Amino acid sequence: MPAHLTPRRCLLILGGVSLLLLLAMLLSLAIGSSSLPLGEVLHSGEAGQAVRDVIFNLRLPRTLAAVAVGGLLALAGCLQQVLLRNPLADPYVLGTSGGASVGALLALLLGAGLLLVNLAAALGALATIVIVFLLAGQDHSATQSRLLLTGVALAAFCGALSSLLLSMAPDGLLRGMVFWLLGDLSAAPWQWPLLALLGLLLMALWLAPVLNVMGMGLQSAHSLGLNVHTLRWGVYLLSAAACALAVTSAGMIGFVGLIVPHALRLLLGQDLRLLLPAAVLGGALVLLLADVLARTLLAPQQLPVGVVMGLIGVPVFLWQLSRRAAA
Amino acid sequence: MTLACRNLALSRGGRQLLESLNWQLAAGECWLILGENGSGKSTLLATLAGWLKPEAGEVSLAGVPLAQLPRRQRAQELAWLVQQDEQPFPQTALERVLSGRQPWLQGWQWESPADVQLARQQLARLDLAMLEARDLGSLSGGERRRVALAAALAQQTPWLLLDEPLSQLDLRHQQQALAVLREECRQGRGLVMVTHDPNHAWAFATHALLLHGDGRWQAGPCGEVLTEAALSALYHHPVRLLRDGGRACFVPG
Repeated sequence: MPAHLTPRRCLLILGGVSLLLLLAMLLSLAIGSSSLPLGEVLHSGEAGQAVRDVIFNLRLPRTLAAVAVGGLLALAGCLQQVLLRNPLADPYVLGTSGGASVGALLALLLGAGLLLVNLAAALGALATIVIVFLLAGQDHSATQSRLLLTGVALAAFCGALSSLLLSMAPDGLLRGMVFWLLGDLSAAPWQWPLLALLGLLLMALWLAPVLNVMGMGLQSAHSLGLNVHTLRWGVYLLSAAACALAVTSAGMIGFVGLIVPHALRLLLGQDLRLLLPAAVLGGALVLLLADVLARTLLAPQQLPVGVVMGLIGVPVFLWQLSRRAAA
Repeated sequence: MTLACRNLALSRGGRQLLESLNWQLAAGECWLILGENGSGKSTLLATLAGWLKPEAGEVSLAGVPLAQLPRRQRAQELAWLVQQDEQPFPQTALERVLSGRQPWLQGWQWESPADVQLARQQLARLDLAMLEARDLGSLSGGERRRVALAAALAQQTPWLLLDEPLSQLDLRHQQQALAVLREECRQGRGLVMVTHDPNHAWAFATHALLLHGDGRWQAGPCGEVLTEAALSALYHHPVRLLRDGGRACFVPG
């Protein structure tokens, strides 16, 4: 790793990762439970039309949803790690996703449709954000342990509520509720998650130079002229919003938000001017590949992408962790 | 430009550490803050840096209360080296020192070649030139401490507030760092340093502030304040001044 980051290196790396992501998107469009020759898209006539239908109406939306959700989760994780100054923090640790789950499960239990379920998930996430803010907002210490403890306690409480809702659910609804919790991209919207990802990434990038300083500790950041307390809540809100959007659109997909920023940090260093956009692209890439596997491993049966992500993600995470311990 | 405390009172955990401190520091003065563990040395430094709010009274810089000074301007005037060094994320020594340029950069403005050169100079002054690309996590405690000092120097502020900058350094690097600080003073910077070694006074300090930890304090030029009697009372342990030719040294009695 060079001694410091230059704009040239930053652009080169981001260009490279973007190219990889584009290739993965093409792969995701070409591969599915029925393999279609991509060249047919250009043909006129009925055969070409059928191929276009599958690719543009089925695979493209799902591909874009995977890109948006993967990017949002990696962004949320990266910000959460800076916020808690812990390289192994997960975007789910502060209870935002737990609140979303409770909202979504409650809506499913009441027999609501997809739109209402998403809305309820968003409201649940918002409720936890407000509660964390109210309970931990006045903590002005240097260690800021109250934020972590409040979030973790709230996450545990939401977990208990989710279990309660599942145990009360009639058999007919249980399957749908469990599938929501597993994380699935087949019905995920892509339009607003993608737009939100762009907006949140721009805001996070705007803060990147000062967040670099904040990662060194609150007192050092104060000494360098930052308003650390306001900034912390800005980062918390950005991270919670990204996490809530991802969970609302695709359910609980674990480990993208933890592993991608962590692995890229080891490869590229901590400078967030590079790490934030690289993590978003990397998260999109990883979730997209996991979704391709989820669609093809047991085709024609489709697996929930959250399960595939966990099955692959956990061993990779443990391997990274043990390598870190050895180093 | 003067740094001043007016009627400052500090307390921590229900203990009154400092009462009605009236203290004037002029540019080019180098102050040692001495006192027992828990006597409020770091608390006072954090208050001077604007991190802690005083219980009563105020700190002002060139007549402007610190609380009214815009943060960025404060960071261009005061550099604060904190006692604890946390490094949860990978960062190279050069990146850490470059972070000292933050108050002088606008938004996304990238560090200029002049910034990088300045940062490298500070590393070289503290014998760290060879380590610039090393991750801080792989450095020893004393090396990390010198990197943090280099970062504070790179901030290029008229005032340096240093909390035990030399505590983990070996003999040679302590002398080297003291020489660097002496040079900074000679260039007109004001320096406030928390330390446990009154002998640092001989190296570069002009003044000393003694904190007794019960509200009492004593400030003045080293020659007046640093006496056997005063230090024995401060540390609740006999302290003797040994002379060897032109040199003098405080030792525990």
